[in-house]
Amino acid sequence: MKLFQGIRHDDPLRILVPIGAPCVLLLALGMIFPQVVIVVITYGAAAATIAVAYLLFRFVQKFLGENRGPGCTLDTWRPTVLSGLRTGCCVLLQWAPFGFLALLVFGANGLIVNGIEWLLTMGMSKLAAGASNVGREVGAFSCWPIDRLRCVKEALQSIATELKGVETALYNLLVVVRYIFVVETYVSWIFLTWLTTRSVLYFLSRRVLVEQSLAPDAESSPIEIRFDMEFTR
Amino acid sequence: MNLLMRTTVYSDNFSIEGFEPLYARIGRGPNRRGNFVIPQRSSCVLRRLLTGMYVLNRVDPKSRGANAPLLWPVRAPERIAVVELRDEQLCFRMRNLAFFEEGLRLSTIVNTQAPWLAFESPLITKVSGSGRVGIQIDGTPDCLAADPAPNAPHISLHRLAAWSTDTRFGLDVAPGYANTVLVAPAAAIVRSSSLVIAGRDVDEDVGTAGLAMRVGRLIIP
Repeated sequence: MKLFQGIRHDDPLRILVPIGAPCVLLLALGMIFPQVVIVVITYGAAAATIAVAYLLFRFVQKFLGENRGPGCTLDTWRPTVLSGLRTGCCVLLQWAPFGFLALLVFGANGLIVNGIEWLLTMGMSKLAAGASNVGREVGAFSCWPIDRLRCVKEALQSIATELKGVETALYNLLVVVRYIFVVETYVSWIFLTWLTTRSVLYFLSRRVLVEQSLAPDAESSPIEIRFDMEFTR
Repeated sequence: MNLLMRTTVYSDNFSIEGFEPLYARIGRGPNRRGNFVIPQRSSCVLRRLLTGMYVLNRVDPKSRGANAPLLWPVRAPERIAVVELRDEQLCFRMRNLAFFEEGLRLSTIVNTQAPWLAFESPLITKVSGSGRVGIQIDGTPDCLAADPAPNAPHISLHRLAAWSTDTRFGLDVAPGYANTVLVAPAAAIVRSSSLVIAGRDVDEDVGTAGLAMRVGRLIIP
């Protein structure tokens, strides 16, 4: 309770930053889990963020509202379950098109990466077996004392060498493609994290600004945006 | 003399005789042979790369060979607001920057105030020092300087082109879930400022293109 009393009443939206941080952490944690778990965590993170944001606002409102006078933003905003649900729906509505698109890209990436892995393990092993068989046949030919088949033997040796070269080239290509898709998956995740955090921040800020501007005795937007920051680069 | 009085808005070509060497956006400025340079290469790198302002054209008005005065071209309906800074600081949007004199320094400030974060980018570009900076605006701009006043004007956030660092904004949004879902722009109420330069508000229809722009601004401010 003392922790919340320390927040400046003229800038209550600062408490939104701690809401975004766990969300980002959760999604970042998801990156190290298998892909199916990540999808579950994503849905969970979106739902949990909305729920936590709503509960935190009610909690802070309760404790700050008791200690601050009229005009305080958190005094004027009295969310109900219905308004919380509506806000949640708005967040989901904003998040969903891009979030699902990112998930789709992510899922497709997973499919492609798995397919490539299958190709690398199964396809390459069969190709290698083929090259090995040809090599064995070439070895068998080498036992034959028939000079007439020398040209056939040389041709088979050449095919074996070519197959080996193709196998190596294809393997390298697939490794590069797989790497590109893995990188793209991470980019997709960073985008999803950004989108989720920004959507939640946008809708909650908007709701708070509207509620306080509609309050009968509240000055419109008592929060001042300043630009005299010390931290520069 | 305050910053507003040192601001001149040009709607027609103007002479840059007497200016210090300046860095201009490539493709803009006097039509002469390009002298492409990368000034202050570690300043505002990301924003400059995204807006094509990393490599700039260095124009030295003193080194001209012709007799005709060196003019900065202004094409209608754009306007160029030239602000003369005297050890002052001016925040601006990189996409609105037309030129800045060599003595000025670009930097980025980080604004982590949650309401600002919700509608705008936390990274704000800033120019400081002594010299002149040109801000390009489509249409006639609003140039304001406001002391704390009860009837402060409202300016859509995305119309803001430049503002001094001593500016205090209040934020205002239109009520209603429709406005929320359709990402209606937030407005800044100028509480106090030495200078705010903004484009004129034009009614923005919420058609497909308008909505796409609004959503786009929300995702990538």
